[in-house]
Amino acid sequence: MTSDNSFTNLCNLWQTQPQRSFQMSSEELRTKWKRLNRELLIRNGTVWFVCLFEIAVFAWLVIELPQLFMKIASALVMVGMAYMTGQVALDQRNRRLSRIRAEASGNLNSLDFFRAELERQRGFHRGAWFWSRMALLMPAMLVWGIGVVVFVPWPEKIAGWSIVSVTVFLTPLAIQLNYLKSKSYQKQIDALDALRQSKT
Amino acid sequence: MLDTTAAQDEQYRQAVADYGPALVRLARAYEANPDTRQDLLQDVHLALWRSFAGFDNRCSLRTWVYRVAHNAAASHVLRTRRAKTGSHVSLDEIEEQGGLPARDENHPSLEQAQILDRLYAMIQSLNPFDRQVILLYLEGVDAVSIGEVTGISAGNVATKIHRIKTILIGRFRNGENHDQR
Repeated sequence: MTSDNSFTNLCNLWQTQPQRSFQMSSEELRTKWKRLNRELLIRNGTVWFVCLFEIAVFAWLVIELPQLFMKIASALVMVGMAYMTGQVALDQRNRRLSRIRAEASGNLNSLDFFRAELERQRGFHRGAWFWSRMALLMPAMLVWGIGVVVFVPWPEKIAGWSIVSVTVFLTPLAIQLNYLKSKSYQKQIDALDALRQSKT
Repeated sequence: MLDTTAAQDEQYRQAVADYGPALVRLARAYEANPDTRQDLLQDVHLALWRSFAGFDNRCSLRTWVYRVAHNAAASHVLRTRRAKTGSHVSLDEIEEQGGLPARDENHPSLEQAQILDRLYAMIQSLNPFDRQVILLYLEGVDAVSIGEVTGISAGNVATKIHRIKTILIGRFRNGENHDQR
């Protein structure tokens, strides 16, 4: 038996293997599509609600809290949450674009499609989106922590030290972990680019 | 939101009639877990149905179906692989490991189901692009068309196919020469 015959037999075995058929009716497809859209709507609505609720709470705290550092920290969180709300809106737009791309994915070969997905995931772990999250959270936590350390008596002061320690310790760790993750995605993107350029 | 048409439904039905069995095989080759595989298969069918809203006959129906299906499956791999401990390997590594997983020594006969099980196990361990090439080739798609689906150059596809054939034939030819690892 020649090699080609052997391989043809294997291909025949593959193509004729017993299996159950599968097809979705138009109703099933529409129902599943509706459900996916409803889930997306609920998720987005929940995120919007949480962001707006937190803005309202911290705006109230800015007015009500007695000490200046607490007011400043609350204001920082409020500004940050407002920024996050804007980011959520942008993210929703990107998701819509991503869905449109997925629906037209027959126009994209696998290499281009896979690369775009990897780029999107890499973007989450580095660049403007990542650094803006860091810039948003760190100052507010530090102001809270330092404020408690300076203005609050023992033993409550411990809470302030804890916040400062955790912030100082976690910041470089978060940066490092996200950097490693983005590097891993970049490595895969580079491999795809090499594959695209490779002729043999 | 539901801007689907009867033409879209009809194109979907036609695609499933022509390539439905290949989509079932694709889902099994991408996902070993039967429950998750069913979800993947539904995702592939949904993506295919939605995709026909943008199908403009610039490529063949076969190329379109395989692109959508493999892209949906690749997204599935990206979503789920964080939860899995094992990583994917390349054809190089499969060659170094000696090809397919060893068969059960207590059942030396190479039954068809056994051959297919081992073949699926090997394909599931491959990285996405080697997996796509081997799957499309087993489905009888030629090198040029595989290049259209995957975006890999025809020369590169030909090289991969040659290596795939070497690996598979070395392992499957009649069964009696199977090495005892």
